[in-house]
Amino acid sequence: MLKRVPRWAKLIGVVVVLVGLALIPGRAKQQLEVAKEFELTPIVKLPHVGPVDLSINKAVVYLWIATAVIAVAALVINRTLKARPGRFQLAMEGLFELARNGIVGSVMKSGADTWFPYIGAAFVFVLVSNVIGLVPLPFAEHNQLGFYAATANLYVTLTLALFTFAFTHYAGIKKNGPVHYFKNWMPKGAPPVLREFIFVIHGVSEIFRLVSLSVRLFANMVAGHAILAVFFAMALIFQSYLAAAILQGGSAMIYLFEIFVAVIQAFIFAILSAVYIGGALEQEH
Amino acid sequence: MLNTQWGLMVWTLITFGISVAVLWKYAFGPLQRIIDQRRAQIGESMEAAEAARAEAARLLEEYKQTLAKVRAEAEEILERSHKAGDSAKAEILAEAKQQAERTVDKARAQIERDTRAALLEIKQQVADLTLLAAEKVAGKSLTDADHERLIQQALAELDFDELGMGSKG
Amino acid sequence: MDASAAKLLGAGLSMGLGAIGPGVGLGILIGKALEGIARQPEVSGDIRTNMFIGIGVTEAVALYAFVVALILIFVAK
Repeated sequence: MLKRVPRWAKLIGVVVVLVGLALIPGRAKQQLEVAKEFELTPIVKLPHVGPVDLSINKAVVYLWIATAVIAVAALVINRTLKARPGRFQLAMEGLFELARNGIVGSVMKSGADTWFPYIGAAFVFVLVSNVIGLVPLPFAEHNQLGFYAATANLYVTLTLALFTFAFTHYAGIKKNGPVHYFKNWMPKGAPPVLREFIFVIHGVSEIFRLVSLSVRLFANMVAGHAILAVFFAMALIFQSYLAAAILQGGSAMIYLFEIFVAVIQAFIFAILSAVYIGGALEQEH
Repeated sequence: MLNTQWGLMVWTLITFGISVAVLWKYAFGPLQRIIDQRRAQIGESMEAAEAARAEAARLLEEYKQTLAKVRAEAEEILERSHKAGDSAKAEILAEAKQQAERTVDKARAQIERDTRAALLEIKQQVADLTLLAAEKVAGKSLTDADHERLIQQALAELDFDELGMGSKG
Repeated sequence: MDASAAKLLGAGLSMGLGAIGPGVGLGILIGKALEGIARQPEVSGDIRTNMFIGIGVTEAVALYAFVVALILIFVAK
């Protein structure tokens, strides 16, 4: 039916709607504080263990949701595994093949089978956490629907990056022996003082790998969610339905881009983990 | 936003650990197994298809050879039958010729015999006529000695060759 | 200029200036990767994987600026 309407009529319709929206006076008085979206307040208070506050907050809930989704998917896949796959199994197999061959297989030369469980699980965990962050869940202030992601917290991503960091050096030491492994941090032909200097620089770069791995994921997720939140906040600031309509269109675009970012960041996290662990295994310089 | 949250790190450790364990135990192994299984199956079926193809090619080759052999045989049979026909023809022709010749010879002999008989008859009649004529001329009967002499005389004067033996020529 | 204004200004500047380099770098990186894929489509899988690794490393620079901006806004006193 819409096909018969000429283009100019559609344009006029859009303009009329926009003008109508502009004429309706905004009545929202509420302010949305972008930074508050990322603040964690305990939902269930739990006792401290030493300096560790085990209270359940928004991020913990998101982590558990991600774990539950992964566990349910894994159990379902395990129960319904068939030689002739259905649609769900095909999707899971595609994801598995991407992790196994696209990430681990293409980057690591040796030890792919040994380290795949960790890297594959990290990929799936980060991917699920990122994607759950794009589903509105009622954990914002006053139990409103809101966007948050477990990976939009530096300490979650830092923990994940610490796993990679620890496994990298564990793999390197186990494969090459501790002396040999750290000796390989120094170039062989360099003069004595320079050699130690390079050793220190290498150590710093290892720390920075940890930082960049965690901060990249964290900052991407925070930036995406912050931009979405800013779009919503701007609609409230302008207090106009017209601005709200336009900004909603914009935030829809951003949302689509965020889906892409969520997948790409999980991919990059896993592939860099594979590169680091593979690099520690294949020392040659 | 950036202040240290040890509790969250512990929770991440726990949840991520559970995820790794669950995925490792329930998802990755079985998925890998079923994908390998399927790959092996595909390989097997491809091998089977390859074998079937080779078999088909072999059969085709065999049929071709058989066909060629059969064709050669048929040609040989045809050739042989041609030859047999030719020889039969020649035989028949030769026999027919022989038979014709024999028939002709027989006919010729018959003719000769007939001619001889006819000649003998003619001789007889001529002798009788001569005798009759001589009796009439002499007006009296002749003796047997006279008869014989007269007949021999008349016959000596006649050239029998012109009467029929000329055809034998 | 009071301290909070300087903090906000510094955060904005840090993010804005910090995004220039990675932006140019990402452009060059992806452009070259596409060139490579166009020239040799048969190794596009490898190129794409390495492109993503490069994107990750390059992008981290902009994200450091982002984190500095966050620190300036929320942490710096």
